[in-house]
Amino acid sequence: MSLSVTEKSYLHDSLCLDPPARPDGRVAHQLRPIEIFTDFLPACNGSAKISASDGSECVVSVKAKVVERALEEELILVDVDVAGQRDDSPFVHSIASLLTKVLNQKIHQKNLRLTQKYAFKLFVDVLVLSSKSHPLSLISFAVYSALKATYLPKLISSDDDLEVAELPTFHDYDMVKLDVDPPLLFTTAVIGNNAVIDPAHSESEVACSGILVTWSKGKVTAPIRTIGLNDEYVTGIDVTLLEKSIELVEKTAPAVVKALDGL
Amino acid sequence: MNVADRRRILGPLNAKPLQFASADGNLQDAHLQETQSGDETLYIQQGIVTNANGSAYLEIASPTKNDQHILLLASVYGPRPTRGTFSARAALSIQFKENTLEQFTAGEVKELCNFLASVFRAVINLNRYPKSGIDIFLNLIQYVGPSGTSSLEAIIPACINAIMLALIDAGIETLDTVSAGSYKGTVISFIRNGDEIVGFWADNDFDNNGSYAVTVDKCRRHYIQNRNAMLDYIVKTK
Amino acid sequence: MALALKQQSECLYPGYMICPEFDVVEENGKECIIKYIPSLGVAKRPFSVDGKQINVLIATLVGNLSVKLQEDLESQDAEEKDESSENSVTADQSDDESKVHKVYIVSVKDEKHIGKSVRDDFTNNLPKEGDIVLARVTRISLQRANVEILAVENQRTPIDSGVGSNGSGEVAAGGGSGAATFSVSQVSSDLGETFKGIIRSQDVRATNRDKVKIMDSFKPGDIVRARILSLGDGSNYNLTTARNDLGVVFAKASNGAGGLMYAIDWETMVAPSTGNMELRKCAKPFE
Repeated sequence: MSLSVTEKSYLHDSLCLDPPARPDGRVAHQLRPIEIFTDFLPACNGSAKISASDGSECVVSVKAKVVERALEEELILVDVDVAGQRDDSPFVHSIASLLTKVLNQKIHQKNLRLTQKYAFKLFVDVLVLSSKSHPLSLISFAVYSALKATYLPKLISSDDDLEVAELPTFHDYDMVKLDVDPPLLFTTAVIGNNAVIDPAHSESEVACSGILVTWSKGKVTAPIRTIGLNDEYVTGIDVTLLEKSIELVEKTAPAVVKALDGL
Repeated sequence: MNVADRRRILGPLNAKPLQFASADGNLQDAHLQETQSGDETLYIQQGIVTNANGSAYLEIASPTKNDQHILLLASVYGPRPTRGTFSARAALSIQFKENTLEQFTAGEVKELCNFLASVFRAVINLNRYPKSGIDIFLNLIQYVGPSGTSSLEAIIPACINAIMLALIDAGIETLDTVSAGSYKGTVISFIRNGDEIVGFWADNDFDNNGSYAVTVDKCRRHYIQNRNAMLDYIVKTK
Repeated sequence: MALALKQQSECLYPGYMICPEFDVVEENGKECIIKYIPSLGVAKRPFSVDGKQINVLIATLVGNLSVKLQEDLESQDAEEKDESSENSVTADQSDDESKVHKVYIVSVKDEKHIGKSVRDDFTNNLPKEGDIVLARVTRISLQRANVEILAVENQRTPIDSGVGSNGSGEVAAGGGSGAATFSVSQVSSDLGETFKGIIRSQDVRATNRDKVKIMDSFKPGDIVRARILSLGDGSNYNLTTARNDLGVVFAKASNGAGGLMYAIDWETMVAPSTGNMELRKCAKPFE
């Protein structure tokens, strides 16, 4: 659905007001309601399905494989598939690359370590079924929930295999919950002198700039980036607005983490 | 050789290899410039890709940053016609290629292109070019990072500067002379004398090296150095 | 005028602030309101000064300032005045007469182009409404003739008008900027990328428009002088030849097999070597 010039102008003007009048009646630091199911794919170690109020839907599955630590640089690999986008489009590629980078940066390798020699490698597959607005923060919520609901086989052999060469063996049915603290990615949109969190499609269309902010271990961390949400309204933004966006995320993120952890 | 070579198609027996006249190496009308901007030495040359509408070659050496070295070529093609649906504004695409050593993964390169495109969408006066497309190509000829490492943050400012100079050479309308500055892994691209941000890229935490305000300030200083060097060059070679 | 003094003395660069959109100066004891209109190389951008938004003209190209007084604006001015008097009160009217309105067109030009009537910079001269262009007929049907635009009159063709026209250009993986609007498989395989156009049969002649047959007006390969009617749709400009000085300027006899032909009247061309006559919509050969 594309908006007409008049609709865009109306939206832009109402979002520039103080406080911004968002089309769905949210306040600046309010996210859209989301619904999450976890652990619904029987063949995966962990899974989550998230749906947002605008009909955006995203499915994430986590699978694990035992690898030799010395041979693998990255223990988490993210693959993204967005319906309606080509697999080799820069948009899909850059989301996958960014998520892989962030997860590897923020999740400590020792959490995935099995023995001196072996470790689990996680394959996180993301499928965005439908998405109108920028799907990054939705994906990141789903990945968070999926990783939190991931169970890996329990190791029963010794965890020191430097001396004796031995393949790790696992318990037949006991599983251990994966203990990680994945990062969350938030998107904010800057319109006029306002910053709003979790922009909907209509808001993205008229945003001057989008900002991606990462939240990990109770604070805002890198990467922080500007992202283009549309190509008509993009302009430069005031230096203070970037700080405002970061503050917005600082204000909202703890509640989001609490909600996601309560699943 | 009596036995005819049947494996390939050969020319007539009395054929002679083609010989081209040697290029006269006439670069008179290309503009050369070397400027010192802060700790960096900048070498700029515009218009060396004759087939492109505009191009710029950039060499940056920063002896203070452990001999960091960047050779970069940007070329601008277009505005050329696009097909399909009507668009009142030009479409923009940016492609990045490493000519020698491939140091970045395909994903990183896509991230970089996406980021640069979002910066230049805000800067190029796209409304002036309906139904057209502008293609920008970046060729990283050489990049030697500090102590052999490679990071995208180090080359982003160079990319932005090179594209800006190439756009100027092509005569494509831009709303400002955009440039970027970096400080400890954070790159900020400014316009309007550092009052407004068009691109922000931070892959390292601020906590390790000062607050947000400090980072912005250092980046702005670097941006002003870069921009002034570019403007100096533009005005001098005019 | 202060702005005129700046003219040609200083090298402007993208982002350079030239002047506010409106200015007020004293001239012969009268208050003179000046409006500056951005033209080539100049854009209007909002800036906030002391919390107030004002529009400022900034340079978007490297070059020198050129400011021209717009002469034929009296009529438009009058219209504006009418509107304002209709909408608002009449109190200002006496005041209004003592004021002088002036409109200047501001542009930034490269030094190389100053004093030249032909601008040899294509980038900022894409075909636009009202331009006269030279085009080659590529295909004809009963309803229309398809053409490709070769050049905008008095302007240069682009350096890189496409793959093939000037050696090989660089082609982006995945289609480059074109990928945004069309899929790669749709890229035409013919040499060169040019802006395409359509001349509908109704737009061929100014008179007897419904009786025009495209077959009797153009043949593929003809070079046509035409005017741009509109930007058209995504792929084609709309062109017209409905004017005496527009139409076929060069055509070869026998579908390109013969030699060049000459126009002998508005609708006939003759091949001098054979004497054969062919039907065309001819352009008036002399001014």
